[in-house]
Amino acid sequence: MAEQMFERIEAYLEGILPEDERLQFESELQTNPELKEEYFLQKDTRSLLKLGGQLAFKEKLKRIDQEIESEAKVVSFKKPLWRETWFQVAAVVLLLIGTGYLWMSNNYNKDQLIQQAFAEYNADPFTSRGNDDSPFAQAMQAYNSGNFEQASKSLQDILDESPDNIDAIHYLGISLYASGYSKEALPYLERSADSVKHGEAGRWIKILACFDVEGKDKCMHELSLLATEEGHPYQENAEKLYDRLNSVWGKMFAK
Amino acid sequence: MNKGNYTDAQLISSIKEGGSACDQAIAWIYRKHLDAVLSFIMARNGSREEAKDIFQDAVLSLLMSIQEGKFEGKSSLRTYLHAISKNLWYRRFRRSITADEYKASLNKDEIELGDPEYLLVDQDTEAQLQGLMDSLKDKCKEVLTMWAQKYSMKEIAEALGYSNEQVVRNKKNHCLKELKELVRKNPEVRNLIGELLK
Repeated sequence: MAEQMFERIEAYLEGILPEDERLQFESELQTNPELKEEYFLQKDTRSLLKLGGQLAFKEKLKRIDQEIESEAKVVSFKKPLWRETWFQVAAVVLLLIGTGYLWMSNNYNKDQLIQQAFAEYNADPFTSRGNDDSPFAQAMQAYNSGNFEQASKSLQDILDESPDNIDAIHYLGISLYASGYSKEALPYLERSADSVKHGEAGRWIKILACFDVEGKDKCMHELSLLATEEGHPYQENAEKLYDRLNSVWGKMFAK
Repeated sequence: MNKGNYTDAQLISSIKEGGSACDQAIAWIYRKHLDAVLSFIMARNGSREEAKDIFQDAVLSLLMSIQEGKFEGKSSLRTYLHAISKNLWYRRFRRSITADEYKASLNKDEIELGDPEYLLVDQDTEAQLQGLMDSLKDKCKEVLTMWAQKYSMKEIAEALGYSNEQVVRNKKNHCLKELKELVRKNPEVRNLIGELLK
């Protein structure tokens, strides 16, 4: 009886009682003192939880703030490579002594730098607590172990069932990119970049994939936009890659 | 969403959705607007810590207003956050300005703000409420705290390692009943909740 009353009150507070049952409930509230007492007690309990949620949320804000502080410390130690006098002199000398050689060596360096940027991103594996054995968790096991081809296959299976699963879209984009299928990865990364949940990381990997598929100027433009977007979590990564690619190509792109 | 420049409508929608979508939106808002509020408060001799405390309460107030349906987007999120921060600053630390300046600041910014300190609790109250929550077992506390932050049953199942959403639903009801009994046995906490929600 008490169980039934609890669940009925819960359904009312959640707003999921059908109209006729809702009216019946409200009518009983006026005439049944026990129901009334339990109703207000349950309502107060939920209010307490709401306050508990606020407290937990403040802790989250403090963690975000700590992240910002630690990022700021790293940035304050960094002087962009292209601002170093020795670098500017060296770049001019290199350009003078062998543009042809430099061009031949550029592609290797560019790919290496982009791979390094991706490796830095990928250093933090996807984490999920508990013993979840869902198809997604299994796909992410393959992803975390670096088996991106298997992860791509499993994530594609999930998307066949649930085409709008943004987690699967995001990690499929990354897995395809990591497997060397940048062109195939881009549509998924586009959707990921447009999502709330994965927008920031999706945009970053999309830019990395861009260099395999699109022209240099377009990708450098996208990279420069991110490199100057204060507050974006991948702004510093973008700035670092932008500076390094500029040094490789021996040309300054206007930010 | 595109290129990281989220519109207010997208951010509000994510905050209403709750859970991890809300977390992402709030983190973005925090990073975007923190500096402007720090500059405002520190320019008025506030410390960096005071400024951050104010800003965090302003973000929390924004979250509550959106989730309670009290913020409808008539003003921009930026305007709202800055106005709330200013009001909180003047209310808490108004020693540094004249009464007229304080009054003028409130009149200027309170269009559609309501009461910015809605549901924000002081440290003593926070300790009492936390004490009651701490009486619950860890698993119950985790489930209820995530549920209170509007994480979906699926997200809670994934985060806490439950096999499916129904298991989480049952667990949530079980834990909520336990908390209800705790509240029943602690009338002073119930009075406190009543005071806060008046």
